[in-house]
Amino acid sequence: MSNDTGRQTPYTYSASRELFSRAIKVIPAGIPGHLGPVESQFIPIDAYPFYVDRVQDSHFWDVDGNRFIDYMCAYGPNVLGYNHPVVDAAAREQREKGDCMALPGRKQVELAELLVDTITIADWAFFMKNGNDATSLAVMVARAATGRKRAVLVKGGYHGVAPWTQKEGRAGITPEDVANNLYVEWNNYEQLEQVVRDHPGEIAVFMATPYHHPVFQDNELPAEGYWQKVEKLCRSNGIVLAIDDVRTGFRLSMGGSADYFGFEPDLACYCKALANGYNISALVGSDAMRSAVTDVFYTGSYWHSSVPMAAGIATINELKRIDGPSLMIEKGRRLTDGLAAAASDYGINLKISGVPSLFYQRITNDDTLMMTQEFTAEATRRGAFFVSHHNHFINASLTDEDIDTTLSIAHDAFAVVAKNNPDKV
Amino acid sequence: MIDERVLARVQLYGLFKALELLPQVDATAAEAIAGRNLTIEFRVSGAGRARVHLDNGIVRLEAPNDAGASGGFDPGSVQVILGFTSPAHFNAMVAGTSQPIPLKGFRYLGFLSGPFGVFTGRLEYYLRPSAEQLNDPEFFAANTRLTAYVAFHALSEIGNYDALANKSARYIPDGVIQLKVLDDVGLFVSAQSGKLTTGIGDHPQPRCVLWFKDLKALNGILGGTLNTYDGIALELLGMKGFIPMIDYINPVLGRIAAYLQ
Repeated sequence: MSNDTGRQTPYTYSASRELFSRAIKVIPAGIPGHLGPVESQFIPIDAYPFYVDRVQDSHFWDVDGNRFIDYMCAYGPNVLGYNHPVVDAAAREQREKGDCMALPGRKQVELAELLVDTITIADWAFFMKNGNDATSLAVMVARAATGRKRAVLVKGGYHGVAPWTQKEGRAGITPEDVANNLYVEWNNYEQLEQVVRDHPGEIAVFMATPYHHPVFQDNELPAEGYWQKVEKLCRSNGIVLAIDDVRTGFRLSMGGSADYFGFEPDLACYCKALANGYNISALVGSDAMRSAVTDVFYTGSYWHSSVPMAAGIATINELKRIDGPSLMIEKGRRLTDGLAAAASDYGINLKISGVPSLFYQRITNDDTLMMTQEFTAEATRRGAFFVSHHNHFINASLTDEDIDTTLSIAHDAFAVVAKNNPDKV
Repeated sequence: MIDERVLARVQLYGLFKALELLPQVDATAAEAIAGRNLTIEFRVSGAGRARVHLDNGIVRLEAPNDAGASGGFDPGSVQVILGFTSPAHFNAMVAGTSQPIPLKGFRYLGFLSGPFGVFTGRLEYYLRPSAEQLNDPEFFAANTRLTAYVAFHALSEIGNYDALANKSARYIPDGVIQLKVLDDVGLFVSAQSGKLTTGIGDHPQPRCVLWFKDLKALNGILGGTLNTYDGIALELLGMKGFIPMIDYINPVLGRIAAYLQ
């Protein structure tokens, strides 16, 4: 049985829970990591499915047969639409030839050439599997290039889960793991300048996302001139400038998010939108970094696999053909304008932040986030999959009908929120 | 690593806080202090002071406020003062391997070593149970409620004074975290500029809520037999509201077991 929306009867998830009860006996936490119900910020948990049965375009069907319009897009990788025919055909053709092989395939060279042609600052490309592989390599390359050890990071920024990216005090993290990190506030150029002054000759790299997209708080675009001043500061102090374009890459500009904001980093990390769900990430960089990245020993069993590279070539070419970033920004704007308008019909202020192709939403009527959690839960129960506190993602296959359905669901959900919070609307 | 000063504060303001609840859950404890009207002050050099008020069967622990009269305590007479030369001295007394220095109230020493000893002994009885005792539902409930009182009052002391825990606690956003067993015990922790204080009951405006389905779930978390992630996923506990508060308090929660062993 398949439910197309839960507008009439909100979804329930008995099959998901049954599967989870088996999982938790044999897999730590049942579903570890960011797709798990805890890290995914499913609040309350009973509003959310745990397992997907199948996907197509902008939709997924959970194991209970409920259909969702998916605004997480597998946390970003779904950029063209699930099961995209062009991408899947390219992957299938390569799979018939070979994937994980004794030597790299032709597609590795072709994908690198395509990235160099596509991303403004790229003179070379190095391939891995996950975003964190790329951010970790960026730090190593910066250290190799400068002979320095410290990394300056933005408070609240996310660069993966390797020990150096985490907070001291979390399980498994030692003080030494983060001893070389220095932290600054986003958009606070003066603070960054002070940190550089305080640590002369020590800082290898400043790494940040192109704009600030932490969880639990409004996303923030760079202030006017921020990146240009940062670039100049890094250049004049011999600091490598690296951007983590893992989440934002190809959802703002095909030339890279640095191109979108008008600056030139030395290194840029890509992953999510690179191959429409096929597993690959990349670090690209300028010629000045070529020697350093060559010197760093960094590799993995599946990093040269050809199928994801073939998928990556098809994905990038397709994104270019349809001007994917502009399309997703336009669709995101239509959706978010509609959500904010629907909210206002019920006396609710839904604040949208970030770029519309990966927007963040928060109800500002209270500072506890409880109304936001109620909204995302009620929308999910009705078939529009929103998580509580992460930015959401638009993919190019999202249709006007999907958006219209989502807005109808949002009306229903906001009505529930308003009814539950009469003193706040 | 345990800091003796923090351990002393955990026992002074966390463990002793549970004395307030003890007469409500245990008849033997209630009987031991029945009809007694007495205030006992504990002076722990290098850690702090606290008063235990016994008032016709009701127990109240008083911690000195920062600017109050009478050394920060409410006005009123104190019948007994017990001194400790160091946090380690106090901790040894709690462990039963040392004696306090009576500074006032010598005529009450018989009560202290007699009925009051019976009273505090009941706390140990509930907080150090055997597996068999925990099979008794009534005992289990008392154990859990008392453990919650101790643990969540200890949480503030550990967050404020333990060097490792404070690295996280100082970043807890301002507001109130409500800790709640559904239809049962409620405690809350207020964070203000990184300083934590624990309160009893249901706060009217919590910024976030960490709830437990039942006493068994709370007991599992406090006793380390239920993993937090598993518990949340299985809906034995849950959270809502401004989750970053819980993110930052989690490392503090993780330090409690080391101090309460």
